[in-house]
Amino acid sequence: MRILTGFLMLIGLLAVGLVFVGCPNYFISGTVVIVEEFTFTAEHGFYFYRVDITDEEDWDDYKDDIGLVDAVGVELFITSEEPGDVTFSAYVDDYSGPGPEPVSIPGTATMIIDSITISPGFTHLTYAQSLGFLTGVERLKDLVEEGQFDYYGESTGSDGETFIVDSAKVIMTLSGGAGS
Amino acid sequence: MKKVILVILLLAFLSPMAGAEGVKLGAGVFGGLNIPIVQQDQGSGTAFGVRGKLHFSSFFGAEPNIVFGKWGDPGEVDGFELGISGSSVTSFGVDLVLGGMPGTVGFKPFVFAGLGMYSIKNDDTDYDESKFGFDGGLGVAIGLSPIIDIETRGTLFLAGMEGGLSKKAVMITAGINYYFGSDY
Repeated sequence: MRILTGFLMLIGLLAVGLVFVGCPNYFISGTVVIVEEFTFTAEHGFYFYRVDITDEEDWDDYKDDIGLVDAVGVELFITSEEPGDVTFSAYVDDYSGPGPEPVSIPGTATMIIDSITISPGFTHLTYAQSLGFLTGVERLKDLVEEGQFDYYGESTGSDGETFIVDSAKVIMTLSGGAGS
Repeated sequence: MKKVILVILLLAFLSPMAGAEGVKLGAGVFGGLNIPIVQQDQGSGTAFGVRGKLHFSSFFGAEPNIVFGKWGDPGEVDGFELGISGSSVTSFGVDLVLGGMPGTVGFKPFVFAGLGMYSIKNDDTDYDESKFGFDGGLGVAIGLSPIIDIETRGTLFLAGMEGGLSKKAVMITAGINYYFGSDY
């Protein structure tokens, strides 16, 4: 009888858990990391790229049930041949879609990198470092959830030819219910 | 210091029950692997903890427990080195146990399931979430004497998170249990 009581309590506990959770994604969810690599279109200290991860396999698996953007960061490789320091800022905004590329940063954009100083030479800003200096993270997470957004860069004290963002990555960690 | 206080609180919670008729009381420590499931941003890590053991009969009991875990660094994801640390995972909960037969010598399989509060924190990403979750699994204890068991168990836990999702992991642990009293 005691064994039966214990067994029933275990079943009851699981039932309470199921009711408490109330969501199938609780059981089949996962966390994936999507890395989007790109090279800026650069002109006279202005940089632009349309980020689109909607064709990523992981994105396709999770797109309908993204419950949380755990983290977003960037990685930048920069070469500066300027004689002095250059400041670099980055912004994100809603996806503008196909069409002519913008030539300036729209007023609706949100700053995510606020005037970091780049010394002459080669600079590698890592993903881990970016987690410490990114601003506007909530807007960035909202845009990542959309899967598409515009990414702008701006440098001051350079002409775009002697200060080059060699390559950049956006690293997105998403949690969601896969394939449900 | 916080961990020590939690252990003391657990023991304080258990001690009044030591004299209760029919209740067999013990305590155990354990440690082992903590393996995240479908979490690309986490690597395998470690877990250790303490548990109380309240057996109301030879086949049924409850185990309040505290577990301190740490997932490992994720390393490379699709060729990209994230360069961040794994998250810490701390939980407080209670498991109900079938089997185990405290106070006996020999091979003693058991199953268990329970609920708990799980806190997952990552200083690099600022992820910080504390929510209820639940766990279950099976194991086997070997009674070396009426008062000492060694055991190994596998535990699947699902820690709740925002959006009705969960972070899941398997812990494979080994430990030792001690049963108080001399009426075994």
